[in-house]
Amino acid sequence: MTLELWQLFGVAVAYLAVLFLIAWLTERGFLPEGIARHPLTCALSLGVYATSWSFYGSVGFAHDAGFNFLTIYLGVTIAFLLAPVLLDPILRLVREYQLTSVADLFAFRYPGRLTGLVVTLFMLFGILPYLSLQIRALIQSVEVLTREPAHDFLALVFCAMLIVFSILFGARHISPREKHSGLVVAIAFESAVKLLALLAVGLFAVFGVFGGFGEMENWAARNPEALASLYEPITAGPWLSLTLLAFAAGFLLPRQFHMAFTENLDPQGLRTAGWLFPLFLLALNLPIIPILWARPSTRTSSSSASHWITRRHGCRS
Amino acid sequence: MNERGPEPAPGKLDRVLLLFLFALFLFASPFTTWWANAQPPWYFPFLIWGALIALVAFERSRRRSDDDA
Repeated sequence: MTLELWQLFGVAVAYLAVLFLIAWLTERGFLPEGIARHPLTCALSLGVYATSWSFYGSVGFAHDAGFNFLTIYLGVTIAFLLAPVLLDPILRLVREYQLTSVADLFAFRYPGRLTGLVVTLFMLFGILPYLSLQIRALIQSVEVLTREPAHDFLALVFCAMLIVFSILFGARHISPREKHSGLVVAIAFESAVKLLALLAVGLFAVFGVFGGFGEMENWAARNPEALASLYEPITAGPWLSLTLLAFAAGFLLPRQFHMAFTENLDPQGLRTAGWLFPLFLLALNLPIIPILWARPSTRTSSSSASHWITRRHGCRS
Repeated sequence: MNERGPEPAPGKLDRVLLLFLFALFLFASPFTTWWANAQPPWYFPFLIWGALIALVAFERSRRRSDDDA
């Protein structure tokens, strides 16, 4: 089934409106404060780590580099495992000295005129290509679902909507003491949607394509090369370096730092997130292999493998 | 715990460090190479990942009950 551009745009605007509404209701106190402070909300808000990379990148990455795709999440798991000795001290510093970013933290630890500026510039140049990829992934999704070339103007509209959301629920208050509970709850809701969507595609892959777990196992037994292509890259690929990279990304990526420390509403939430957030990541990745194997004849290229999830969504809607 | 966040508990850190070493053993040691070469079922990495998460959850619940006591 092919969707029209206006239909997709309508769904996207409606979804963003729901996020706006949740953030607004939380900030105005219409939603119980317990929801914003709940450890589950804290763990889900950290799910901002999983971006379009989790939807597109993981399947394509698993296609190209087998289980190496898991390193992106295993490294974070190890970082959060160390919460009492690694994250809690950072949280105490952030709270006591009202630090709001990685640049603040470095400038506090290494006082100097240029420290904050240099760290900010490094993060800016590091994050720009990453943001571009996110926007590109969105536009490519539109192209896959509508089967028409998407106009650049669409990307501009998307960016404008995100800027409005960021200003209204993030950058509007300038006091570092003020928490943006609306932003936290909205991102937690978004993470839950991401998880449910990916699990739905995974279940479709297992039951809709293979006909059940048993049949999928039988397929794997008949195609041992599929299993070998997952495990062999672990010993030959960049397993360790990617795990180390993800370990640092788990709490130093700007958005992770912001959600874990700057927007932290309850220190106990971060401790619970030490296992709840990795559990979220595990659940998010569980469907990746069934989805990879369920691709038509598993002969498509990694590029089209990346978009197969979108196609499944498109087919079901 | 206070408003700034939980205070460090040096006596309990050894459990965290043991878990960290166990995680390294599972995912960054010759054992990793061993299970990768053995090519167990596809869900094996998820099983040991889940087991590690369960151990961390258990450690956090112990820590919390210790703090409450």
